[in-house]
Amino acid sequence: MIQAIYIISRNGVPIYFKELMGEDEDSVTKATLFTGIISAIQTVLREIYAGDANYFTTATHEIFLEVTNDFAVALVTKIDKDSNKQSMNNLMSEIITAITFQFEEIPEIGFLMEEDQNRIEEIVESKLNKWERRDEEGSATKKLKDALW
Amino acid sequence: MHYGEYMLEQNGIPILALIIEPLVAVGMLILAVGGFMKYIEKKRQPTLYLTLSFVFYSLGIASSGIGKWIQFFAKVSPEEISYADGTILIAYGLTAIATVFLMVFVDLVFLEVGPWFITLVGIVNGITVGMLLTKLNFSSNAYDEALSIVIFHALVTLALVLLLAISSLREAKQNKERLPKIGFTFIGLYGLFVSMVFILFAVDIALGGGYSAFYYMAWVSAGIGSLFGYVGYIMPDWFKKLIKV
Repeated sequence: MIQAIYIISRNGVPIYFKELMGEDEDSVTKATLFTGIISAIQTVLREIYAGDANYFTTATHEIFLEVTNDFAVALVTKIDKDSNKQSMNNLMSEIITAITFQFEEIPEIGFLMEEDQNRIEEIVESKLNKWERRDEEGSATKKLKDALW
Repeated sequence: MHYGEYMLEQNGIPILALIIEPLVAVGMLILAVGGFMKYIEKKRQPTLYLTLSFVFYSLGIASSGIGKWIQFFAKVSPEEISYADGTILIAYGLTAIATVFLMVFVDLVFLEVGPWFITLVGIVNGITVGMLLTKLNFSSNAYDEALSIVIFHALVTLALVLLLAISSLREAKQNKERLPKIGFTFIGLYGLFVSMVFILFAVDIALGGGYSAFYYMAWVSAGIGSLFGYVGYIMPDWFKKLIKV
């Protein structure tokens, strides 16, 4: 179950974020903290030549990451033994492809015009809806596990 | 009659047909019993409808087999009373009912398109059963008289069983987990082999319906299909151990 999606600029500023479990007053602060920490971890890893991280876990959550030259996409999900990592990676790849296709360049500092923000929001919403429909289709597995296997 | 000929055929029924049809009926019955035990354990709607489809498929195959046994040992010639022709029409009626139950399962698990799909399948197969009943008799040309209905039934069933196969194989392709991937693949193979049954019977009919090699290939296909079905649907513990899940 996806908890949040973040589009992060090269210097760690959240270009766009969506918290699917409901946003609160501190959402912007939390998103800025989260993307800043992710960016810092990536910088450290690069500094020590360990390469970009693309997956973290905590005791309760999983964080999926995909980094491009201009920006990164992060997905936060609750730990679930049935979660499909490939499906998460596919969602991130689709979002990255759509953003790369529609934007010539994402400013390094991460601040976008309102119109551009809306375009990114549309992209994420449409890809997320498509992914959720695909995930629903996967419910045949749940049904047969429940009914037969 | 020569002893050798007697061993191969009597009253127009080859001995091999007497063996192969009950064997497949037993295979399908094992599927039905397995499905019923799963239903007792899980109490889920898809399991119930799947089990009902196996019950009616096994009754259909058994009906065809019983007709052949009666005719084989009958004192009257098939020109006077053709038990095999009459019972095969009953068999098709039962498989038409079985297919409706199978499509309820397909809708519950894969399609989720709502009652219109089941209503449509129910009406089409209900018409098939009704038309088969009007043609039901035990004369030597009973099967020929109902041939157009049989072809209609075969085409409808072929399309519907292919729908099961495609839905299941697509699900297997999308799945990364070992158990459902294998389970859906086997269910898909069950659908493909059952589809092959109708195609092979059609070829047999096109060749004159005289127990050609395609008739036996159709039953072998049904037998293989029921094996795949047993593994895919019932997924026995020994198989789970075998695939290490």
